[in-house]
Amino acid sequence: MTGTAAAAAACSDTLPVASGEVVLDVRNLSLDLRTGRDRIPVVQDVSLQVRSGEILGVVGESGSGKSLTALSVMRMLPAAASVTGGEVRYQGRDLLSMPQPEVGALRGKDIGMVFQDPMAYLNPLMTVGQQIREVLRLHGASRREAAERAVSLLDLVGVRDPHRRVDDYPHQFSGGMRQRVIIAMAVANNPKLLIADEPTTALDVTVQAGILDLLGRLRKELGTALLLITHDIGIVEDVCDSVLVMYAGRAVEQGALHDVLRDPRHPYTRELTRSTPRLDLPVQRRLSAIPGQPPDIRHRPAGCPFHTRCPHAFDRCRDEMPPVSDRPAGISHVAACWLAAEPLPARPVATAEEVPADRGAPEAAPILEVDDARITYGHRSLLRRQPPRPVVDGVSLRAYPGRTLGLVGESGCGKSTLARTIVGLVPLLSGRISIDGMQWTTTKQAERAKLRRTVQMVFQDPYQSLNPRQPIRTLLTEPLVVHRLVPPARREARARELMSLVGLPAGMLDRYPYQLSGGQRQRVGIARALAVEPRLIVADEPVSALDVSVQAQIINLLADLRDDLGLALLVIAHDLSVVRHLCEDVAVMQAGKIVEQGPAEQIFGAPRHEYTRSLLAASPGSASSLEDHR
Amino acid sequence: MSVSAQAAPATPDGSAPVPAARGRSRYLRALATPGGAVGLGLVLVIVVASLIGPYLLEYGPYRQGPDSLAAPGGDHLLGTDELGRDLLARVFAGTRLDLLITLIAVPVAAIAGSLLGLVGMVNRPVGGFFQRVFDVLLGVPAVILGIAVTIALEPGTEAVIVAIVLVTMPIFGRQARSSLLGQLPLDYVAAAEVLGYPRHRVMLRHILPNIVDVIFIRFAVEMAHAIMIEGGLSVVGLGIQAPQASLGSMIKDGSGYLLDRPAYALVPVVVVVLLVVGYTMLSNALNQAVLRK
Repeated sequence: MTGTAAAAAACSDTLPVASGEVVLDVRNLSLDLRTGRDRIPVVQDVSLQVRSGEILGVVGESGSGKSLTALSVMRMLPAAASVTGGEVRYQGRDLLSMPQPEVGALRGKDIGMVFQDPMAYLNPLMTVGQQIREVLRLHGASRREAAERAVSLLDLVGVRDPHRRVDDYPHQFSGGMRQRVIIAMAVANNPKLLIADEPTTALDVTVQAGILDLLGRLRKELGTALLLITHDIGIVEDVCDSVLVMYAGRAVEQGALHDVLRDPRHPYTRELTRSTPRLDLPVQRRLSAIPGQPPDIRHRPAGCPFHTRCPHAFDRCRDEMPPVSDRPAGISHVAACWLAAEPLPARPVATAEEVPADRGAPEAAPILEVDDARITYGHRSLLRRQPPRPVVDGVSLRAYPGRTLGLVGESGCGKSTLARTIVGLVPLLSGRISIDGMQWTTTKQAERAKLRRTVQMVFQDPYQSLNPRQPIRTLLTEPLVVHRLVPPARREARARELMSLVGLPAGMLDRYPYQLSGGQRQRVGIARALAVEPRLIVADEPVSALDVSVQAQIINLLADLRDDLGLALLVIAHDLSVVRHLCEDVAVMQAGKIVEQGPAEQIFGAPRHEYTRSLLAASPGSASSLEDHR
Repeated sequence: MSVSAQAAPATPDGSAPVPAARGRSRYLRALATPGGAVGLGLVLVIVVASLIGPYLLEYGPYRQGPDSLAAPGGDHLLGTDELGRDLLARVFAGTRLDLLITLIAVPVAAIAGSLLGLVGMVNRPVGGFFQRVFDVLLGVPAVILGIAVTIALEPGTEAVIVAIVLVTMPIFGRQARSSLLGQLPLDYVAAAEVLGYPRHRVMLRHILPNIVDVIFIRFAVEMAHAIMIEGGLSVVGLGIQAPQASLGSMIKDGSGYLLDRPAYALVPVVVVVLLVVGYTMLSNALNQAVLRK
């Protein structure tokens, strides 16, 4: 315990802006999940406090237990989960032992909640006004009060023209506006505590920035305490006052935002911030990725759950979980690590190899040439007067061997459609797409087959891009069989070679996709694409479905393959920091058109188009003033 | 649970595979539920009884004795019919014939229907054509279809089989088609296309294994359906013809003596009900265990 106390003493001069009273006090909370006959501890010994007017960010990867912790506050745990220890106090009242009707009275009145998917939480058959009024009426407002307040709430959350919009249905609102409506419902009764579980994950970056701005404003104007759950440390950095980092069901580090980010005392926190690509730091050749995968909840290692991936782990870490919970009062920054007493030692390996700002001009001829491409879904029809609106409207691009072209834009801008057209899944309406001199419109069978082998695709969702009924070996050898690339006797060797190319052990060849983690599946997806020895790989959001600590591994892998095999990469992403890290050339797409394209350093350093500038400004982590935190 | 869970070798990056029951073990798990066990038990008892039963009896199903419409008991456990034939022997024979008919007709319908339902993936117009054929077949009541088949063929076992195939094949076709449409947007199908796999390969090797569970469950449902179709056709006299016994034809013949000899018609009814209930419970159990994610 001396360790954490000393750690706290070291940063006691920067106590958080502990403004108000403690609204939510969670102490030593532990949760179990029942699966079959087993009971798995999913959250262990988590303590947190949220004060009025404060935003606490709970950051963690999938399976870290962050959402279950939040749900337990609302007593809304799924049936399979149960509280095994600890207490949850709301303004001093014990929520866990409170009778159900009293909890019901608190929900929606004193405690509001905002979820990830804004459409799923609105009733499509009721106007938004009706839904907001319902919340108000249930908690005692009169009909007239409710009607007036509904309009002012919509105004508060930034819905324009609230008098008219109050009678609109959810489908008449955009995704971001729906989330604003949900927030309006959540804050309708001036709750003291607002819980937001990944409130912006389903939204575009510019919309996300607006929602985060709104949450920050509500905190100021209403003095609400906000518990914000997210996987994105950039969001925490932008809006939170304090932060709780969770890993494998444990609270590994917590404290005031600046303390934790400037002087992380838990290796996981530091590795997490380091492995996240950033817009405000020089581009490194390799991201410093955390090795390995987050542990499966059934097979969490003993001792500190991070020790299998930790560069500083020693014997004691393997046997004993470092304490964090029984800290003395008044100490703000604690970490569950034996080494927390002092600033973390420097990392054993220095991999910092900066990429020069000017990454040079392409040397070889382009392998992909897209000229004035127009793409649409649907056909011309006698019944329709106008031809269908093009999804991609006059796009021209070039991709070069050994280089990465990044295509960025928000959802619905046509970037995925363009990717699918380049790989031949969607036909072109007009224009020309030429890959190594070949086109999809060719009628020659042999040329088509060659084209198939020249361009390959890596998909966003590693859970549905691999056939669940095939073992990895079949997934990797089937392309060899179909294209008759390798004689049968050599296929096994080639499969092993592909596995080692993407950094997977050959022993995994017999596994099925469901037995692999998300990052491993994405590696298999990449290996399968490499099986036909392509020269161009189109990767559609290759890391956005992965956990933060795994994203960096996959980004590094793609960069290595590009450099080692001389591949041309076309990476489609909404995350500008990923694109900035990986790409030499960048094209920004909006509403089916390329609004700006050029070398990465130019796009990110001196964006010319208004839209590029707004995307950059909205990216999480960019609002940070913490240039020196590592 | 641990049937398919592989020993978990620690991978270099420290992750352990998620043990999950998949494939065959999920079917076993379905049979271990109360509903699945009872359903399977019902079907098995009837199947085994109809196979072994005849060897335990003194009389065959066609042997006519001196007593017609004898009361249950004595030599004839369930009594005799109007021609003096042993009713229990005829119930066994009828059950066997019903099981045989459905075991021929439903698999044929399942395979043909599923393939015709999937063919739209390889050839869109042909697939569309068969869906319209299925629409028409689904629009015609089973009995009307049966009448048409018996007019075209002779009434009898073959006609019943053809009628069952025609009634259930469109259901499999629709099922396969809707499952196919559920798989098509998934990225693994796109990946197969990007890798240049031929369409028929994608259909048979990739999509079919992923929808075979649904078809299998539908199979159990349609087995129950087929028993009822046979019964329906035979009751109106279009099905199995004398002297052969089937559950349906016995119900028809026995219904004339319902007051004097209730067992004549009611025993076949009970067998039909038990079979239908058994298949249905089985399909429900499979549905829950296999399709639940």
